[in-house]
Order: sequence, then C-alpha cells, then structure tokens
Amino acid sequence: MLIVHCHVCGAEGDETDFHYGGQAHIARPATRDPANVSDAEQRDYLFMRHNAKGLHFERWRCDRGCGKWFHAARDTVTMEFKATYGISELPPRALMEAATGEWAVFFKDRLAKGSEA
Amino acid sequence: MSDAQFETALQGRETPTGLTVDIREMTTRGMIDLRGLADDTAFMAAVKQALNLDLPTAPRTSAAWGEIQALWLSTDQWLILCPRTKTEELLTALRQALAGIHSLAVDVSDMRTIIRLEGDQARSLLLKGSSLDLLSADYEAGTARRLRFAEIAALLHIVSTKPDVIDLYVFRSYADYAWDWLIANGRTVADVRQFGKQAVPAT
Amino acid sequence: MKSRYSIFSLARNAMNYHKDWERAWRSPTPKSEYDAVIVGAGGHGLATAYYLAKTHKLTNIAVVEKGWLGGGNTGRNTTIIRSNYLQDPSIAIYELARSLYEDLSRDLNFNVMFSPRGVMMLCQTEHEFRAFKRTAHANRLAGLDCRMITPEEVKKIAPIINDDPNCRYPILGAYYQPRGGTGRHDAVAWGYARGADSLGVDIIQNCEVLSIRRDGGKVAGLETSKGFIKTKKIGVVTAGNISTVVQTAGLRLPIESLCLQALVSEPIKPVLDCVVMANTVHGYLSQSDKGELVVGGGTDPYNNYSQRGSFPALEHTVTALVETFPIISRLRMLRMWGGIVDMTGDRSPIIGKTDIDGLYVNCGWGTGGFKSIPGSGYVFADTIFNDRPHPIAEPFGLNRFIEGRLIDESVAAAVAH
Repeated sequence: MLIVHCHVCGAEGDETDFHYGGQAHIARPATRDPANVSDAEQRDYLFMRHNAKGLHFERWRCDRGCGKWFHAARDTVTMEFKATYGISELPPRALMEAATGEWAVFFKDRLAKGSEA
Repeated sequence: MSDAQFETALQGRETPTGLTVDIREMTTRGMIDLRGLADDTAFMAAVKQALNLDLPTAPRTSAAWGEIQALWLSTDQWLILCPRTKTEELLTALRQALAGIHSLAVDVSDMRTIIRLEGDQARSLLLKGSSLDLLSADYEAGTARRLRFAEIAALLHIVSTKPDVIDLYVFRSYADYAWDWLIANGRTVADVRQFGKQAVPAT
Repeated sequence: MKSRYSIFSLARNAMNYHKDWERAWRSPTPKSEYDAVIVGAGGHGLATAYYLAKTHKLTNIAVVEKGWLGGGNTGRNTTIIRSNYLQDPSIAIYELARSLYEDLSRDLNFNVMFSPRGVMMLCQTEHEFRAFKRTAHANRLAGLDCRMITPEEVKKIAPIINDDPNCRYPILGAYYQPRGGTGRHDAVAWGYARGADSLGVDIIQNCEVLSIRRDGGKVAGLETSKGFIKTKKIGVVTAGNISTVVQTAGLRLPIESLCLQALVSEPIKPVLDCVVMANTVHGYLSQSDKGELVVGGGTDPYNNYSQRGSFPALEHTVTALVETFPIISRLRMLRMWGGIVDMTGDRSPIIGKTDIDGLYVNCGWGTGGFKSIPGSGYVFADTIFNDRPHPIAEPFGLNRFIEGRLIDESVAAAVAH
C-alpha cells in the first residue's frame, strides 16, 4: 500500500485516493515541430518508457482530493516516495543527480542548463 | 403533460430505525459550483461582495456567513451552499459581481444528494468505507474534503462535533447505493480503530 | 541420456525407497563459450533452449538464471491456458502454444498436468457480450474450437455461479473455449529444464547477468556473476527485468514493469471444474488439483519491481469474485504473491531481432505469459537459430511500434489477461 502525499493541497491518503499517471516529463514532439516528426520520435513519445528499476519520476493526480496533477519521485523497488514537486517543475537537483540509467541521460542537459522546466 | 416537478433522489425511502447513527436526506439545500483563481484579488473581492464571506483558501476548510456556506473543493473550486429557494437569487448576484472576471458559477443543486449522519458512531461508520483517518483530531468541525467512500466519489463536511453531525455528499446517481450502504453497515456498532493507538503486545 | 520416467521406473524406485532417483538436471559450471546463451530460466527461456536443442540440434548452448529456474513469473501465475484472442497474429501464436500443451507431457516425458477443463469468459454487460461475439467470429474464422454459450449452459458448467438476473452484473452468456484450461506451472519449467538438460543444454542457476558485452554492432558475450561467457547469440527472456538487462547493451524497449498479484484460498472439496474469467468485474477463478481456489485479477497501476503488490488490488479482485461466486465469501485466503510483468503499449509480446546483431528479445508477454510458453519457445528458438523471425513471430517484431502496426489485445481481452 502506498501512502501518497499531494503536492498541491497537502492531502495524504492511500493510493486509492490518488490516480497514477505514468512516466513524467514526456514531451510531445508534435508540439514543437509538427511537420518534422519522424516515426521513431512518435514511437518514443507513445511507447518508449524509462522503466527504471530504482529511482523513477512519475505523474500522480489527487483524484479524490483537489483533483490536481503533480509529479513524484519514487523508488520502484522500495516503493518509497523521495519527493513530490509541481506539475510544471523538474525534480529537486539532488534527485536529478541521483538518477540512473535512462533518467540520468534525460536529466544531463537539464542539469547543465539550470533547473527551469 | 404534467409540470416538471423536483424530486429528491431518496424521496420515498424510509428513514430506517435501529441504526447506530441517524441518517436523513437534506432536501432543501441549493448548491453552486464556483470556480476562479484564489490569487486573483478581483475574483476574491467580487465573491466577497456577492456572498458576504471570504472564500476559504486553506485546503479542506469551509466558511459560513448566516445561511450561506462555502466549502473548499480545490485550489480553484468551491461549493457554495444556500437554501434551495435562494439559489437563483444568489447565482444572479454572483454572476453580476463576477462579470468580466475569469470565473465560473453554475447551479449544481441537482448534481449531488446530501445525506446527514448524526451520532457518535458517524465517523466510525464512514471509516468502514474510506481510507481516511477520520478519527484524527484534524477532522474538526468545518472540515470539508472530497474522498473515496465505499468505492464512489463523495464529499464530506463535518458540520459540528460532540455529537458529530456530518454531511455526506454523493452524486445523485449514487444516492441509492450510498443510502443502502449506510443502512447495511450502520446496523452494528462499527468498532473501527484504524490508525488509532495500537495495543502494545505483552512482552 | 536420462532414464525415462514411466510406471516401471516408478515401481523400480519404489522398491529402493526412492533413494536412487537421479537428478532431473545437472548444475554445470559455465563453459567459456557457447553457440548461444539464453538469459532467464523461466518457462519461456527453458522452452527456447529445449527447442533449440531438439528441433535445431543446437546443443552447445546455456541458459543463465539470476535466481533459481522457474522462480520468477513462471512460478507466480494462475496457470490459465487459452488461445481465444481477437487478432490473427495472437490467435496463431497462442493456439500454437495451446496445441503444443496438448502433447507436452508426452514430448517432455514429464507430466505437466495440462488439464483442458474449459475456459469460460463471462459476458456481464451488453457491451461485453457483443465484444466477445466479435472475438468468437474472428476465432471461428481462424479455426479455433470456441463458442458462445447461454446463461443456462454457464450455470450447468459452473453451478456455483450467481445467476441472479437482477444482480449488478448479471450473466448474459459466456465465451467458451472447451480445450482451454490449466497446467502445472512448476512442472512446465521442470519438464522443459529436464528435457533441455538431457539434450546437453547447460542450465546455470544463481548466475546473474551483469551486462551484455558488445563488439561494435554485434554481441560479444555476457558478463555474469560467474565470469565472462563468450557467445555470438544472446536471447533475453527475462520478463519484467528485461529493460535492465538489455539497457546494458544500449537497447531501449517499449516496456513498463508492473506488479500482477494472485492468491489462493484454503483447499476445499471440488466445486469448480473449469476456469472462469469475469472480465467486467475484473477477476478470474479456477480450482487447483489440491482444492485451492486460484484467484487472479488486474495489475497494480504503477511501476513496480518489488514482486509485492498492494492490498487494494487484491481487495478489488476478491470483492468482484464474491459477487459472482457468493459461496466463496467465507473462504480464508492462504497465500498471495506478485510477479513483475512486462507490459507493452498494445499488450502483445515482442519477439525477434534487435538493432544489435546477435541480440534477440522475447518479452512483453505481460499478464499472459504462462499460456504461451511452448509456442513462444518454439518460434523464438527458430528465430535465434535462423537469424530471422519465425513466420508466426514476425508480426511481433519491435518495428511494429515505429510502423504503427499494433496488435491491440488490450481492448480485445477487456481485462489484463
């Protein structure tokens, strides 16, 4: 059983009071450049997932509370929530640095640029 | 054709006896769904002018002035309660005050059914169908929050305490289900102590 | 060659107080090089090795396993076997698997306890009734022995079912596959392991793959906890852990790992001699030969590598089944467990080659892996041996996600199957 903490309204509750929204930080390629989206990019957007074993970044919704979406960093092995953060934000810097595998690759440029989303 | 006639969802359902709590349907309440940005001072001022009360901005709280109440639903959404007969008048006043401001006010009086629970067992009974720690002191008079109750969406408003008076709002189509659930589960004392102090095992 | 199991060997060993049974498989130390290495000694991996050795005579091969064989999802499922899927490619591979199950005990000389007791998929809404009717037509065109049955027939086959027409989800009929059923999950893994081992395949347990070593665009071998193993062909069949294994070779897969739970009740007298799937309310039920009711449902919603699910998913499943089978309401549950299932976007598997020469993947079986073990192993062995997809495996290639050629079974099954 996960006990989830809403980043927006502070409500705390069982996972049944919340809704899991899948992997975080997936950008739709057609939003940036609709005319030049390759099939591979579209595949990445629709189907490729980081599937991290360990620290993972994902979206949750305070389904039975304030109804707002937020981000969470969670460990997929220990189930521990490391942090929650706003839906338009990047994770805390320490967690971006702690990320491994595909997440580490994903956050590399963003760490270099600073922490704007 | 006969004239359209308002009927409440639980009209005709007998009020059961022998339950551990008193339950009844609140039939004369009007409800307005109000949306706007809490950090928009013009919006907050306009609402204050129309309702004579400051909208609560702290999560899961409520505010009241006379027969008008405002329940916090989200960071940008409130449920305004008033006598059903005054809904239209209040809605007109709200819309006039909010003209030109990014906001929304809609009469949703028929959207939800309100079941009032009274008695010391009210919290324990609701706890059977919810994952919230309703026995915690955080749930004081005035608390309003949405929750998952008996697998359906509901809104809980603790009207007063000692003894507890709790209003349970469910969507109208779930009224029968919620009513039956309360009757089925309210027959026996709900000795639920979830999250409460655990007995220390003898060593 | 191992001595065969038979009534005579049983009698002979009984005379010796069962002290002289030989080990079913060896525990070899890994050689420095193999013609091919299969990663993952679950049902799929062992079946692949077995068919590589048996059909393609490729016997200088190994199966490496992090834990013990059959200890992952092969030992964590509800053992349902059926093939009545909607899409043609799915029907082809699941029916291949189901038909191989029919004769598997004889083929392996190991009783896998295949029990074609019939699988019923209940129709509890009008929509579900129509959806299954559509599947029924598709299946009949493909030559499957399946049919729609009436509520009366449902009640006759499973008398403990709640046939009250006024309940929330009344039984409107069912989609029935009489030759579907169950098998013994451990026996399938053990049977394939014994079969592969006797053909010379090395099954190396407690041997974790640390990384896949590449030599440019092709594979060079495996770094394992028991040293480096050189090979030109690697087949990765590690279900929920596949992403972490292939990541070491720089390969990404359209897979997410979730937890699927199941549970069994205390053993009771026989009450149910078929498999019942109630997809609308999200639960399925069968009775094991020991008398335990085997209960399964949908996955937990979020990514999970812990092999432990959370309670609400189980509660939801059990609530649903009590509604459909009121007599089980007083049963106590004995054990519960979770497996890490590898889910693809279209809920169909991925079988085939990758961009890296010599690296083959067989994954994405999600919640439907057990039923497909023989078919999956058969076509994957052929794919590895010939370095091209087996015709039945071809539609399940990785390219389908680029081409948008999905084999959508998530809608067809109406439940995490």
